[in-house]
Amino acid sequence: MKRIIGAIAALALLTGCTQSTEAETVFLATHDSFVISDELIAEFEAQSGYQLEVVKLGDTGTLTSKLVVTKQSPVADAVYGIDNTFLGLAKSENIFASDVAEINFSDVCFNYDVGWFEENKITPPTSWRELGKPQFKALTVVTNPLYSSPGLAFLATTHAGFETSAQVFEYWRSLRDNQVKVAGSWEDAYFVDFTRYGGKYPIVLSYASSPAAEVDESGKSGAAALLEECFRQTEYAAVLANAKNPNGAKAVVEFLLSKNFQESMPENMYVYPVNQDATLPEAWSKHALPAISTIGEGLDIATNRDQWLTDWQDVFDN
Amino acid sequence: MITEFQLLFQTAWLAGLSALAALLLGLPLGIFLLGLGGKIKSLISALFAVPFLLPAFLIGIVLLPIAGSSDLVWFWIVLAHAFMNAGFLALVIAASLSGIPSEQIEQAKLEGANRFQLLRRVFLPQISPAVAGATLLVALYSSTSFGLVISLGQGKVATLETEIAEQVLYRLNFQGGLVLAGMQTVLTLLLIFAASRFGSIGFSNLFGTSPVRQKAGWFSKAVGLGYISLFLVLVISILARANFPAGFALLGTRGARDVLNISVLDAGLNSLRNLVIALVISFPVAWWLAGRRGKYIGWLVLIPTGVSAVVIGLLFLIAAGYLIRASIPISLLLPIAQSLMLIPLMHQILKPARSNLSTEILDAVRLDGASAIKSTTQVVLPLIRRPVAIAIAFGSLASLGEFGAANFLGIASDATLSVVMFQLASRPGSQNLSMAMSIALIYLALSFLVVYLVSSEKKEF
Repeated sequence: MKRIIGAIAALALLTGCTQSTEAETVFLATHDSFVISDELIAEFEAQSGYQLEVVKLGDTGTLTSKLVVTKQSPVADAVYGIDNTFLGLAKSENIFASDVAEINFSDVCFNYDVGWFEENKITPPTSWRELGKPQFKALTVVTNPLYSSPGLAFLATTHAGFETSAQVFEYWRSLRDNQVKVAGSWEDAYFVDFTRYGGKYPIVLSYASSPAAEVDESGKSGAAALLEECFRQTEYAAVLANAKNPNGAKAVVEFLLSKNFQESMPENMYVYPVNQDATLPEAWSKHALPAISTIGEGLDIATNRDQWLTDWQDVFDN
Repeated sequence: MITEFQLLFQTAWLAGLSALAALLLGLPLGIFLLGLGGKIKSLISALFAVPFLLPAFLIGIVLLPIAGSSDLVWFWIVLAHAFMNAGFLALVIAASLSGIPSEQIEQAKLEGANRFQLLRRVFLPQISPAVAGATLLVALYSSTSFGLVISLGQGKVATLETEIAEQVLYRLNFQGGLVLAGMQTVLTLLLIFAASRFGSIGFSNLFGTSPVRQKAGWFSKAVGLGYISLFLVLVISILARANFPAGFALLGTRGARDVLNISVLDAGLNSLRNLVIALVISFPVAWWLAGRRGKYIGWLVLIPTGVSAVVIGLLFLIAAGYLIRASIPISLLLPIAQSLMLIPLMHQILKPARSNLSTEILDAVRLDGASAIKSTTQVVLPLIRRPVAIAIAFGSLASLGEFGAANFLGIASDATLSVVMFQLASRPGSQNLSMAMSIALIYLALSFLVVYLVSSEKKEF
């Protein structure tokens, strides 16, 4: 018996207790795209007196699902990163203990490789509605709406852009027949399939802010965004229901809205801050303009999401 | 809309096809290996084992740019599975073949048997139990494959595992997910049952027990050299993206724009800690199970290999929530979850070694009045120290490269090497990619070195 107790004690020592679970630690659940610098963590900890532990739980969909599954005893105190495509679902599952706070927004729209279109002497598209046309055959890559939040956002865009479901799926069939590629994730689409990164597709589903990351030494961006009829993704933060440290969670949500954190978001996460006092980076005023027009704000995504995905799968036969 | 039974069929099809492809590739590779000797054999054996121990997403990263726009999605997934597992099957096949008495082979040759007849009448009947066991393991791994199916399948291939992930993680349909997880367990049992038709499932001692060499024919040599070339393409592809040595210099950081929670070095320490704990848990269990008699033990041990990683991951994540609430560190959960995967692998390596032990020696030790602990530590372990070393080496490397459970439980400050490698590779920035590929290079080199060292051991019982 002594040996068993000794072994358990040794195991406890081996675990190293690197994950402090003392009362002053506050756990923030978020998606894999979340970025916070050491300086900002230090600033939060100095201001609030809490120690911050960031718990990354996958993409937005996976983050939401994991928080629903663990809602009786969540693995975090606060959440940041659930967007408007998953917000209805999260609310209906009662995972929040507080009102949600808007933290940032980004506009999902198509980007194209400016150099590729110049070299091939093809006029680039002006709207996502044109992508089923023959001149853009086998030139477009989108992301799977099942596994990718921009993919789901574009699926919602098409539902907002047409009057009937029949028209929506006529459009999707035209994309399929025009050899659109469906990538598993935004990373695969952008960094593998997009021509700017050695891929074969000069049109990629991404964000209005993405061209800011493609600026060369001369100050010119190699990519441009189609800024009409985009889908605005808004990300939220909130205190989680059954949080062990709700006061710490409130402090985190307040910090995410602070000027310093908000100013870090454009360059770290390629999103626009909601805090009007936050200053945008210089390149953003030229190459990361928000969408000229957005659609889909009135959609009831929580109710329709499942059916949309099933219909979409039927079109792509998977 | 695909039905549950279509999914079951597709998954069985993918698992069977992947296992068959790995076997068809592994057979000539095993014969090729048998034709080698000395240090070359140890080097090639180590090279063959490495793809089996790599995180699957790494193979996906390398293959995706080639397979990216192809319509042959099934082909690429099966190819990736075959590449990952064929080397491992080759080791099992070569080890099994080396156990066949050379007199039998000579006798068959004297009777005029050609190469094909030799294979069909002498080799295959004797190696089929071990090969069936190893092929089953490959089929089970392929049936629960997730990352490769998603990335190489381009959304056109659905299996039970991808559908479980979709239902549970993206549609929040937990009931539907559990039904599918049940079907996956049924498929696991069916695969185990099918493999058992070839005789009692078991491995031979990996890396062989005798120095028997059989000259390989031109076909086996060509396949062997082709496989080695493919492996070198993998290494070069990773090396080219690692921006060597600049990527290595950054491993003490959290990546460009601080995309990681912790530095790569800290993640490495987490992985080492997990490895030690997982071995402390899984080795004694695998050892104990390997000493049990009865064919059903071998079946039961394999079942966790075919259970959905999503389901296991979520169950452990729920447990993590309760542990955090009770202020108990959750660091122990990941090595426990990994142990579920390591036990079947280690058991398959230890089982034949323990079964082959001379009963006379064991009886003599018992008659001398030695305690169970004394006979294990002073007699049994030294006698089979090589299979034990191999089991520990494979268990350690499998723990280091494990991604499925780590992706669920390697959260906050507990991120492991495989998790940070994935996070770095999937976030924007060439610096992050070079860091991810530098980790991959370290992992490749470490796996190669460890397997080379255990396969080079000369002394046998």
